[in-house]
Amino acid sequence: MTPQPLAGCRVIDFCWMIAGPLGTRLLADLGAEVIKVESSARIDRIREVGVQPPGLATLDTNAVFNDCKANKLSITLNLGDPRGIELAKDLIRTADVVTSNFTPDRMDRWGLGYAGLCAVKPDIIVASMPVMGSEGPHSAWRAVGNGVIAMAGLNAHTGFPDRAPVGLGTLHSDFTSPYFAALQIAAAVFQRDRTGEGQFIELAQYEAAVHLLDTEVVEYLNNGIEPGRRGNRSAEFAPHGVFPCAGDDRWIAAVAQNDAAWLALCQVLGLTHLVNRSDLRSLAGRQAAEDELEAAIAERTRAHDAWSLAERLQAAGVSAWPVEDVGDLVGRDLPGTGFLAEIAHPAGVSMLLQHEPITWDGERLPLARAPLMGEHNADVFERLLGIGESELADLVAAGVVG
Amino acid sequence: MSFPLAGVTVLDLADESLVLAPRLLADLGADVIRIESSRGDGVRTRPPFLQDLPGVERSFAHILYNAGKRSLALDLEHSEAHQLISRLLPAADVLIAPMEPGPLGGEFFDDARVRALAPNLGVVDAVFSRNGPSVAVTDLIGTAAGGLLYLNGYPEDPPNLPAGKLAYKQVALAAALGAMSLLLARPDSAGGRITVSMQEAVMTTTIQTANENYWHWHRSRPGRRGLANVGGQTVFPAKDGRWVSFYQHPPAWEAFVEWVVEALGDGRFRSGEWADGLFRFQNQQPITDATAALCLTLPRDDLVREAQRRGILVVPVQGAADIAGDPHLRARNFFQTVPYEQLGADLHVTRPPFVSSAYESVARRAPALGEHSREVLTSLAGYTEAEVDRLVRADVVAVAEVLA
Repeated sequence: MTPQPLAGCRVIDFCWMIAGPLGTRLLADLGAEVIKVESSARIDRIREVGVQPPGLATLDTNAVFNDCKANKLSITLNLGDPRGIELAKDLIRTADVVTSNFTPDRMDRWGLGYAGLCAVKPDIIVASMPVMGSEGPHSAWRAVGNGVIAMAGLNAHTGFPDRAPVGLGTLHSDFTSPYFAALQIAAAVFQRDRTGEGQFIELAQYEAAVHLLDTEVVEYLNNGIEPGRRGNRSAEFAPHGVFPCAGDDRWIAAVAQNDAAWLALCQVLGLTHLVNRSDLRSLAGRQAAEDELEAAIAERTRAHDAWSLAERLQAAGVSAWPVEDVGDLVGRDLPGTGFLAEIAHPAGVSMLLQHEPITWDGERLPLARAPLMGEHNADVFERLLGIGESELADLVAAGVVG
Repeated sequence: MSFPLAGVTVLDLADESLVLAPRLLADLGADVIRIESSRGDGVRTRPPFLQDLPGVERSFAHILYNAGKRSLALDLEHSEAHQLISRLLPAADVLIAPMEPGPLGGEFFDDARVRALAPNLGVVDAVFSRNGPSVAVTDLIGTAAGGLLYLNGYPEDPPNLPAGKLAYKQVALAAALGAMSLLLARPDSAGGRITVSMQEAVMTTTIQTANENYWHWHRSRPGRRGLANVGGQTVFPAKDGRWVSFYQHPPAWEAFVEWVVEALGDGRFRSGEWADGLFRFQNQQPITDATAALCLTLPRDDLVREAQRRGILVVPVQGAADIAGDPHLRARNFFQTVPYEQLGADLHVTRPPFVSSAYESVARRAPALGEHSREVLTSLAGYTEAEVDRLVRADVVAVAEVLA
């Protein structure tokens, strides 16, 4: 059993979609008791969007939802009803952290903003993950992950120079903002444990996403030059590319990360006529000949199996790896690593879940499946608020819980 | 006003793949000591450079990723430098080890050895993949190994490298949280080692587009879709040739329908079948065509303003210049000016993303190479001034004097 450094830390989690819930999943994985507050009247949309098992599509079985919500508890509370708000406050009184990722004023309108919650629980840590941040002329702008990365420069700086700013195949900031937020929240818990004081945290997804860029912004700010899209090339290494291999849509990524690796690349690929070219013994020389070199490499790689070629290139000291798809990862690389856990979902289907990408003293963190909607109503309301079975039934009948 | 990690000491031996992790810990108030080669490591020597002039103080990567750290510069090939680092270990709370062992050698970070020297020290390290061979790590092959590269670009093109060194970013983010976890676990569980896998870290970014259950349930391998991202095409040119990201958020559908009527005189989406989300999902092309036509009616910034007014999720596709000029970020004090004494210049940088009622995040300067060698060795490792002088004369330690 790995340490559970956030054991005893209770999080009342109003986050929805992906970016917020993955952040609280990180806290849950570290042992926090994360209580996801949902409502059947206002379903977390991520329950509806994601791959579903064959012949069985339900709000509980979508895989994206399950990855985002593993290790959490679920209660259903109607925040459109004042009694629902009061129950939320009662729960927060027992809690350490409150999280949300709505546009900034939403929690205030429910009376669940930081100032109000300080009155309920003076040392509470309230974390908000709005897209734009609560201050600034565009604070009311709305966007999801693909908009966040577009604003943050990842589209404009990704792709081939003569093509559209294609961006990423992933809603990428949804998978990075959670780390920034969880780090900041965990640090706040660390601070509270030492000082007794809570705090309000705001992690604007847009600002965090700008920190995903490499040096583009700082280069522009100081040199006045905006670097263009480079395709698969690099200012640091050449060749630096993705080359075709044998088979359908199979590729190898390969980088001559120094002069020695360049010679090794030539030798493995049998490019003997390039080994002796003195103009290619430097990065600048190879960059000047990049079109020619890429064509020569691609002509050789396309006859090879990506896996065996990568193995030979690695053995020769070249930075190379097959371009893996999900089938390669799940079917070939990850079995035996413990990264993917196979669980039996109560809906009657086997499902894979991702662990955190870490081991702690060689072990994986504990992982429990995501909750069914409202699965922990009876447990949470009884254990934390002393609300028994018949009172809960009344709340359900009144539409406050559910 | 105090920072959450005030009083925490971090030793930063990260190579480029992990170097953001200690930077984030420094942003949160940790005293981060970057132990680096006195010749300048890969972070300090890679392009681009300030005014395009190479130099170990001039790399923007250094300015960005080493901000807020202290610098201890050593000849890492020298055995005395290894002893010196060993003497520093007990003074630290967390060590961030390099992914590739470099001149210290992998044995230097051996678990038993570190525990013997510093039983309370938490260690964060990283591997490229759990079961795979040891490889020469670059960001490109990190994106390849984790399934991200395969998803990027057009189906007819080779997979396309994302900007931002995102494989490095993801492994560093997981490492930063790993360091935080080790700190939180103390004192009940002092020491400990968290090992991040770059391949796994990158794969966490594909949870939606290529979730592991696509393969597990359907034996399908989602691939590149060009401009058609999740929910259809999202990137469109505006009237002025600039680009927007236009997301068809289901709750904003009716607002979109009315805008199409007003701007294009096209009322076809008013018919009942289009109100059904599944029908729209199965008939995306007419929606994409109308969106493209709508985007061509206004210049980018007017289009964004009008869309947001209507509750429709449209934002500008911005490059570095747009970001630098964004009035929203400027109003939030996201860009700050920092005096760089070692360069005799003020540089413009971004502040950390962490906003809190308990502390004010500010942009900080990256250290000159060896700027803090002397103070670190005397205050944390117990060296006398005379010993430091000897180590400097022997070229084991490099010092830089930075005059304010």
